[in-house]
Amino acid sequence: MNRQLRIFGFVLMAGCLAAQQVPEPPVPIWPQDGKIPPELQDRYVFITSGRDALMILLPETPGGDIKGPKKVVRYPLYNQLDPGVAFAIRELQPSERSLTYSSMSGPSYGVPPLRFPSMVQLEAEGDYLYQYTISNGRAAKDAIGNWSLVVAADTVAVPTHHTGEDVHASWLSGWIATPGRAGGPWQQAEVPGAPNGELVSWFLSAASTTGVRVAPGESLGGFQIKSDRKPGFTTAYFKVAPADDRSPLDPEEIPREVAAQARFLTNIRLDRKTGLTLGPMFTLDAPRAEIVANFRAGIGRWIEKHQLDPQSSFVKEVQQALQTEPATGQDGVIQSQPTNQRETEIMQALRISLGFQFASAETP
Amino acid sequence: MQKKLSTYLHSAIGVVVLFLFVLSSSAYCQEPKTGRATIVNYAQPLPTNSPHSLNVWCEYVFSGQPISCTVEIGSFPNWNSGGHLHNTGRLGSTISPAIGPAPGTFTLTTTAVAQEECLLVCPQPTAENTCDGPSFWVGDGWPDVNLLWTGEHTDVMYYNGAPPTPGAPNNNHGTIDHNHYMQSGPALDLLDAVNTYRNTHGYPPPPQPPLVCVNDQSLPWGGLFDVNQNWMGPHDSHRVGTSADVNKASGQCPYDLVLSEMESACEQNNANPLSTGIHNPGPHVHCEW
Repeated sequence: MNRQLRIFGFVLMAGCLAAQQVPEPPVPIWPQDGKIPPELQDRYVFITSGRDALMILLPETPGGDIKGPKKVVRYPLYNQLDPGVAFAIRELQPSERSLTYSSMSGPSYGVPPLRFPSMVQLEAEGDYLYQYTISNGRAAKDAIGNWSLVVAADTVAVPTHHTGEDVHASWLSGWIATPGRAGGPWQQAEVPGAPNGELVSWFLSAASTTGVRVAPGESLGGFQIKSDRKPGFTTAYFKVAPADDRSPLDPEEIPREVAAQARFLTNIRLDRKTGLTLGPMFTLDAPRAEIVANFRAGIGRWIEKHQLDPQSSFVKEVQQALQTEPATGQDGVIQSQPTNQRETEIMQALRISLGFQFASAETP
Repeated sequence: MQKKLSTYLHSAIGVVVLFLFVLSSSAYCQEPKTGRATIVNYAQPLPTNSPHSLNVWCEYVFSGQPISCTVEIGSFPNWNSGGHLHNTGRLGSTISPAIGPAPGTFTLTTTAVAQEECLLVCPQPTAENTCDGPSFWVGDGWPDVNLLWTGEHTDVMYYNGAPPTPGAPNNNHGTIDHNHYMQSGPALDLLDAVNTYRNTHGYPPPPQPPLVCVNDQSLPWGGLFDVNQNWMGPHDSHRVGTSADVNKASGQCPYDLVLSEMESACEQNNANPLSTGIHNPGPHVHCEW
């Protein structure tokens, strides 16, 4: 009976989790024949069954009455992305650590609780260098030109990007930060239970003519963060470049009734895809149990997304070690070898964040 | 005897007639009437483009005694109110019926213009009586923050008119003193969006340039911007203090801007993606929350 209850609980939790990952937009599906049934006559915003576009009803004449004759406009969401992200981390040498970062809003570290922040001079002691390569699967139809990582609201981190001759010199980096807004507004969509945070973001400048998007089947490296935070699982958001997010609508011609029905887009962000990776998450004094919970959730999610093999001896051993935490602490040594990129990422992160010991070499 | 009695009777009748004459002339002829009105369920501001009931009655000016009468009633906009500093053709609320019996109920229908108005309630014939009526505000939303007055953020340039200074000449958008009102939530999101944009472009700390030029959030009580001096809009979406225009370099703005990136910055900071975008002519970014 208990076992049945546990299974039921697991199924229920998985269902809730699935619902959290892919929230249902509160708009009806656009009918295939384009004929709107009478009970939906007061609905002006629909979504395609493939969730790649909104179908918007607007007055036939700009500025006209929404109750009168209407036209249909397809509003693409530019979300046909198949993103992936590879992570690596190394501890910086003392000479590499100190840096000064000037930011308008910056990390909210040290910013007074004003909603109108002023200049922040951040002396970041970057203990770790986080390095990322992003990719876009062949199944994608749109190109990635903008990606972000969720970080805790008070994270000290400095995102950078390549400059100079590199092809992606025109990728800009910065914070999508809201100082004073507790916790930040960005959901940890991929890490159940983790608190919302702010974003560090990279995007392709629309002003650039040389910038390279990450087209289907391609990848791009060179994205870095220096931070004193230890690694943990976090959510990455991917979308098209700002210049590629073209709307067929004149924003000033959209009646308020129509805009109101599309308001859900600010919470259910259909214009981007999420990914799971590791990033700067934990202060040096973060509770060990909190870190363990994060790794348990992240590894579970990677297994659920078929990015980790639950039968792998490395994964089994790591999961076993995390289950016995904090009782066993860092006494044990993981004997299994990591056999792929994901397992190597887990090994690197666990060494730093929880002091796990591994018998293997650094790379598989 | 009969003659004496008749004399007394005539005298008494004369006194009564005189008394009644005096009474009637003082009460019904000499004391003027005034018209009064209250707006039912009165709450300021009255929403634009919407009907509201008026309770209308007449009373004597001095005694305050209510009486029945016929009134003519109208609504008149106060000049220059609501941030509109031009008045030709300015629209006021309409009232139906324009003339009718009081006590009675009339219907006041506001226009899209947010402004102060005054009711004029006049018992007929007007020449013999006085008119009265309350002032009221017409408006949309609660654009309770004038961004021009929040001095902490020097990273934004608010402009309208040339030079872009308080008291600059009116060009139908209202003056710079009047067209930067917003509801507080969207105002904070707008400033966050400006921060996001400046941050990702590595701008120097404010007030060092380049700044970001924003304009036409809302007039003090919302309502339409009479951009074309015809009291018909456009700028419909700027009527409630939840929108702002962010501009690239122009005659009024010396600082350039990558429009698509500013659009993205607004959307990152809770703007509605559907109604946020690049608007032509201009072009400029219309950010709407």
